[in-house]
Amino acid sequence: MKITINGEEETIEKDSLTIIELLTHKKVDMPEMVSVEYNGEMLDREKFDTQAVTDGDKVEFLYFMGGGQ
Amino acid sequence: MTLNDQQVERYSRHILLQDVGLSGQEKILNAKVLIVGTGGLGAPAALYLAAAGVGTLGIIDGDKVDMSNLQRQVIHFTPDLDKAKVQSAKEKIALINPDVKVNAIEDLFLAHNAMDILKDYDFVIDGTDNFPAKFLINDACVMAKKPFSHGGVLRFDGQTMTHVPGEACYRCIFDDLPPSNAVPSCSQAGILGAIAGMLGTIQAAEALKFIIGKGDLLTNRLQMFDALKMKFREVKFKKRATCKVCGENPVITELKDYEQPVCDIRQK
Amino acid sequence: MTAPFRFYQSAPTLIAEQDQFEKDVKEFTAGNIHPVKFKGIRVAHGVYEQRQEHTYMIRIRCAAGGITPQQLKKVAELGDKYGGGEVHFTTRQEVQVHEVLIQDVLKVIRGLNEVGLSSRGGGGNTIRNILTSPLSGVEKGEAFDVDPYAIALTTRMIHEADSWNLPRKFKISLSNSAEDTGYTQVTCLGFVAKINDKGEQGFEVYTAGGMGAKPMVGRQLYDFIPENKVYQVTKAMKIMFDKNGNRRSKYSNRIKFLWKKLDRDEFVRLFEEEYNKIKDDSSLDLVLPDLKNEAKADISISPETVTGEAFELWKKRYVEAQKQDGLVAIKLPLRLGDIYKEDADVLCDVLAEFGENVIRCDRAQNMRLRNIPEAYIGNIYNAIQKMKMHLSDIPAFIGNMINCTGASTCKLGICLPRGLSDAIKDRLVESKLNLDNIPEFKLNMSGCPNTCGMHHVADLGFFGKIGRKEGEMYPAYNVLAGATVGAGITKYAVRQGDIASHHVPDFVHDFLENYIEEREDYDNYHAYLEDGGIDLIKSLCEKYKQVPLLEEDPGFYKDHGARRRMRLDDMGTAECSAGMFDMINVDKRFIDSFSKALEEGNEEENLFKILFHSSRMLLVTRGLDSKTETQAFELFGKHFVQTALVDERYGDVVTLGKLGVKAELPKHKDLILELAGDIQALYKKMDDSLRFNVAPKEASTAEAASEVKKKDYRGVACPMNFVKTKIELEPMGSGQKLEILLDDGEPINNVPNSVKLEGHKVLEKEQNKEGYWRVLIEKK
Repeated sequence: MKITINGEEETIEKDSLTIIELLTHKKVDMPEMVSVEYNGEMLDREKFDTQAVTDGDKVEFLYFMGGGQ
Repeated sequence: MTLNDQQVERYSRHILLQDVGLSGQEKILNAKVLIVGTGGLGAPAALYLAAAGVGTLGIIDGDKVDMSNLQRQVIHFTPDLDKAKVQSAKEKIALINPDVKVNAIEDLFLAHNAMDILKDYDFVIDGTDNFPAKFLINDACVMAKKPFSHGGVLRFDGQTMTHVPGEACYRCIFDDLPPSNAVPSCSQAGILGAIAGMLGTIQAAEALKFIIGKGDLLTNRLQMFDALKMKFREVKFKKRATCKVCGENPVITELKDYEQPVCDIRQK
Repeated sequence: MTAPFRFYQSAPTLIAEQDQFEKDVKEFTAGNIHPVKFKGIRVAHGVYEQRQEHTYMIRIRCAAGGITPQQLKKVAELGDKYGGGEVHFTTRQEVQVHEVLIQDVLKVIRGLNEVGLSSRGGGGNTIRNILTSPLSGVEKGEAFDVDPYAIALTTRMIHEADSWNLPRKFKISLSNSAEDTGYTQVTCLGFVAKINDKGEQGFEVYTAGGMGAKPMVGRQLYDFIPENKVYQVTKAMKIMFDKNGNRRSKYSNRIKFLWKKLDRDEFVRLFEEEYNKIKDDSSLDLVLPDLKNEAKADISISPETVTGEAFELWKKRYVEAQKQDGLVAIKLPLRLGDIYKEDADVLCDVLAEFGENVIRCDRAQNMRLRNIPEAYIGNIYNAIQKMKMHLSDIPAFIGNMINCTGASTCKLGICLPRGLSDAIKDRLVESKLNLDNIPEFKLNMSGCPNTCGMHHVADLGFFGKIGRKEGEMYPAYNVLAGATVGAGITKYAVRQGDIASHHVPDFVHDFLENYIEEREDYDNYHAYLEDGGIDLIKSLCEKYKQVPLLEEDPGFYKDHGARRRMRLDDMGTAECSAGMFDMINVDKRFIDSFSKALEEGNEEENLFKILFHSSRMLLVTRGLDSKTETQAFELFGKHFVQTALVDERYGDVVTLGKLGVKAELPKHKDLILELAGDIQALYKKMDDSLRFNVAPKEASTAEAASEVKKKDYRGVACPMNFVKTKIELEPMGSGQKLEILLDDGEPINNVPNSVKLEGHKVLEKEQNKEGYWRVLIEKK
C-alpha cells in the first residue's frame, strides 16, 4: 500500500497495518510520546491498536515536546 | 491615547506597517501579556514583547539564574547568576523599554494560583519546560477563555501552536501527559540555544498578531520545525470532540498539579 | 549730550532675538537646522540668500526712507568690511548690504545696533518698512508732513511681537498729498494726507493694493480719518489680517487676496469689528516725533561757491527749492541704486554738517538730500564731484530709471535688468536725445513678473520673460505702458507686447525719440499714448520681432551683462514664474489651432499635435524643458500623470504619443480632447507661484465639512516622515484631507507612494518655489 506519513509518501509491503504496527514499523521507540493524526482527525490513543491504515491514508506522527526552559 | 514624539520614533517601524499602524501600536501599548517561565522560550519572547511596547508584561518563574541557563536564556546575563530570574528579566525589560510595566512573580505557576494570575492578561505565552506546566496552562487558559501560545523544543526540533477560545487546544493533539517513564532522559534534554530563540520569537509574534488582530494565528495548526534540516512543517488539526478539557463532554473541570518529571538537569 | 536722532527705536527684545538668531545660525552652519527652516528664521531678520549659495543680503529698515549720515556711514563701513563693498538703495526706501557670508551675518547685524538700525522685519511675514513720499515735509503744496506718522508707527509696530508672525508680509505707506508719491494704492495699507472741509488734518485710507504677478489697485477704505487714528487703523488691520489671513497658502494671502476672497462688505465688517474696539482709545494715539525740516543752527563749514555750465545744468536737474525758505532738496541719481563705501564717507561727512534729518531713500533707488541751505549747494556739488561714481553729469531721466537686481543675485530672476539698464543708458547717451525734456519719465524694469522693479507703475515698463526660437531660449521682456499714479486714480500699466532683450535699447530709443519730439503737442503722456503712442509701441514690437537663429547670433541668446546663455535649469526648479506664461500660451494657441484643423480632417496628425502641445504646455511650470516630442510625452507622463495632477486614465494615450503611434489616436479622440481641456483647466487653477489648486474630484461635499489638516514634515527624514503622516491619517475619517510638506529627494520619492500603497489617495503633489513639496492626501 501507498500511504503518506508526515507529508511524505511511502510504500509499505503490506495491505493494512494498525497504528501501533505502523509506529513499530517506523521504528518509533516510544509510542507513548506520539500523538497520531489519521486522515485529518486526531486519533484517540485507545484506537491506536484497532485503527487500520490502508492504501491512500494520510498519517501524521506528532511528538510531545516538553522542553522550553 | 496619544503617542509622544519619542514613542512615535521608537515604534516607527511598527507604525510603518500597514497592519499595525498607529492604532495597532496603541493596542500593543494597552495590551497585557503573561509569560510563564523566563527560560529558553520566555526570554526571547519577553525581550521582543518588551521592545514592541506591550504595556504590561507578567512574568512568572520560581527559579534563579544558573550558569547553564546563559547558553540560551538571553534575557539573563552573567552578572545575574543566582538572581531570581524574574528580577533579572524585569531589570532588562526596564532597560529595553521603560514604557513597559512589569509584574514580576517569583513563584511557580500552579493549580492554586493559575486562575488568579491569568485573569488580568489578554494573552499567555507558555515558556515552560515541563509537561505538567504545559497541560496546566492549557487547561487554565481553556477554562479562563484566554488565548495562549504553546511552545515546545527538543534538541533541534520545535513545535508551536496557538489556542484561542473556541478553537482546538493542546489537549486536542496531546490528550494527556505522557507517562513519566517516557519523559526525556537527561541525554535528551539537550537543546541548541538558538532553537529556543526561534520558537520564543514565533510565540512573541503570535502574541503581537493576536493583540493587533491581524493575520492568521497558528490556531488549529501545529507548526513544527527541524532546525538540523531547517525544514518547517505544518499539520492542520481540528478540535477533538473527545478532548478532555474542550471536548463535548469535558472530564477536566478543575485544575490540578500533575507530577513533576524526573529529569531535572538544572540542578546540576 | 543728547542721544542721536533715530528714525525709529528698536524693541528691547531685539537683542535677545538676535542672540537666538546667532544660535540658529550656528546650528544651521553645523547642519542641525534644515535650510528650509533656517530660511523662515533668517528672512524675518532681513537676511536673504543670494543666487550664489551661502552668500547673503541684509536688508535694513529705514522708516520713512530716512537714515542719518552717521547711520549710512556705518552701513557703508559694514558693507565694505563684510560685504560686497557698497550700499544698495532699494525700491522700498531701504538700504541693503550684499554678499555677506554666513559667518559675518551677525557681525553686520550687531554692528547696525551701534547706530540704532535694524534688519528685523526686512523680509518674511512681517510688518515691512513703512514708506512715505520722498519729499514729505519739504515739498511745496503738500497737505502735511507724513514722516512723523511713519516714524512713530514704525517704532510702535516693531515693538509688537505679533508684527513678526503675520500670515504674509504687510506693507504700509503714506503720501503727503493726493499726488500719491508714496504709492499708497499699490500697498497693503496706505494713508494719503488730506485736509478736510473743516480744515482738519487727516488721511484718506486705501487697502488691499499690491503689485506682483497678480496686481491689484488698492481700494478706498475711508475717505477721511482723523490724523490721530493712524495707529488704530493699522493695528486693527493687523489683527484682522492675522485672524483671517490665509496662512495655508503662502502665495495667495496678502491682504489683497483677503479682500478678493471676502468681498468689500465682509472685509470692512471684519476690519471694523477690530477697529471699533480701539478706535476711540486715545491712549493709543501715536506720539509724533518733533521732526524738524530746518537749517542746522551751527554749521561749522563755510559755503563753497561753484560756477559754470555743468554746475548750472546739474542744479537744474537735481536741486529743488523746499517749502521752507532758503532750503533745498537735492536728488542724487545713484547708478543702479548703489553707493560705494568711499563715496558714502565723502558724502556723509559733508551731510553731517547739515544735521541728522538730511537723507531719504526714494523708490527710484536714489538718494534724496534735504534741509541744505541754498548757500551750501556748492558744497554738496563739490562733494559729489569727489565721489568715485560720476553722478553729477547724467540726465535725471537716467537716474530715475528703476530696475530690480535681477538674475545676477536674485534667486527668482529670469532676466538681468541691471545689464539692460546699462545697455539702455549707453544707447540713449550716444543717441544725443534730449532726455532733460523728460526728467520725470518712469522707465521701470523687473527681471521677472514679481514687481521689485515697479513695472506696474511705469510710463514704459518691462518685465523679464523667456523667448523661444526653434526650441532655444533667449532673454526677452514684456512691454507695458501707461500707468497712472494718484490717490483714487491709480491704474497699472498695460501690457502691449513683447520683445527680445537685445532689441530693448533700440526699442526704447525709438520710442523716446518719437515721444520727445511730439510731447509738446499733448497735454500729458497719457494723451500721447492714446493718440498714437500705444500704436507706436505695437509697431515697434513688430519692427523688432526678428530673432536670429542660435547659430547665426549666439550673443542674442545671452542677456545683457550675462556670462553665458540663458538656461532654464539655471533658475532652479519651478522658481521662474515669468516667461513661462508666454511659453504656456504658445502651446495653448497651438492646441486651439490644431483643434480647429481637426474639424477639417487629418485626425491622426492633428490629434497628435493636440496631444503633444497639451503634454508640453505645463512642463515649464515644473522647471522641465523638452527638446523633443518624445521627451515631452515622457516628462508629462512622469510629472503630471503619475503625480495625479491629471487623471491617470490619460496615461495610455500619452504612451501612444511617446511611441509615436499616430494611427491609434483617432480611437482615443475624445480622451485626447478631454486631456486638452483638463490641461487648460489645470492652468487656470495655477496660482502665481505655479501651484495647481486642484480640487479633488469627488469630495467636494466632504471638503466643505472638513478643514484640510496641514503638517510640515520638512526636515523629517525617511521613514519618520511617513510614520508621522500615518499617525495623522489614522484618526481621520474617510475622505478627510491631509496636506503635508516634504523635502525633495528621498521623501518625495517615497512618502506619496507609501501613502498610496496604504490605499489613500494622493490628490496633489507639487513642488514649491523653494524646492520642497506639498502633498495633498485623501484618507481612504
